Amino acid sequence: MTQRKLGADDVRQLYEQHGAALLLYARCFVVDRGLAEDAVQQVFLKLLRGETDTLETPLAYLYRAVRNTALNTRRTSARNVGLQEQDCWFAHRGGNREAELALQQALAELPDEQREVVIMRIWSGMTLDEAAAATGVPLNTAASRYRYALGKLRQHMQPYRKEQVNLRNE
Amino acid sequence: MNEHDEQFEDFLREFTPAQPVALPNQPETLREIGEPALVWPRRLAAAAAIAIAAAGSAWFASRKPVSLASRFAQPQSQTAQIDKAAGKNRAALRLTKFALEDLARFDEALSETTPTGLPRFDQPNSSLHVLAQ
Repeated sequence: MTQRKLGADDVRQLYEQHGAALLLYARCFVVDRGLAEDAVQQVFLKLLRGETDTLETPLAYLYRAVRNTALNTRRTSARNVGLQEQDCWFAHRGGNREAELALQQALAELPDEQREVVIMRIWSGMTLDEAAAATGVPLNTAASRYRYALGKLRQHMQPYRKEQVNLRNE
Repeated sequence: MNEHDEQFEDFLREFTPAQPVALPNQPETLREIGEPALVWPRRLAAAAAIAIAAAGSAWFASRKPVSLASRFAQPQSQTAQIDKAAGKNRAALRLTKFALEDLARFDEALSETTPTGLPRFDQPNSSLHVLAQ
């Protein structure tokens, strides 16, 4: 696989498109929002300075790099902040704060390998093929992880979906 | 992927992950975040401090050695002055003792001590000479 350097505009575009999803991904490893943001920014700043060559699929590289940086941050950081003390990971379109927290909790409870496929697919718009390549597993494995994760999230979020449907019907 | 899954995916997409802070625009700002801009001045300051310390050590080592005995040895004139002052004190104590116990011996001792132990009053600047005037 050939390596190339991304231009500053490409890097900024990637940050705008996927920064939020990558931050969400980083927060699965580092609960503290500030530390998670630092991890994401470190990765993008290295790209901006041209210190790193990316592979053909920059998004897959970004997920791997953010994961490694966030894990390093978690190891070196002595801070251990409880989930409840943190601000929410999401903003719901309808402003349902309770649903936001429920999704955050449900996502946090997923195993790492299931959570990362969900984030890649739902909030970064990657196909399952791309997610499989990014995580270095066969497509079938990525697909089954995704299916399991979706099942758990659906179960957890059921009350909030019903609520939404009821509101729509009214 | 069935229809239910797609509906649930759409439901999940109603939740937007929090946006991170914007990337800095200026390269200087980038340097500050990744690698502090003060690295070179700091390195120069550290090198200067090491050079000064080395030069100081070399200068100190090249100085003429001074023996400890000579450093603590007092000048002869100073020692003589101390001895003289101690002698005067001893004479004064002796005189006081005789004055209290034996007046005859006091007179003798006073006549012996007067030329050396008591303050002179024949010098032009002595206080006794001034008072006598």
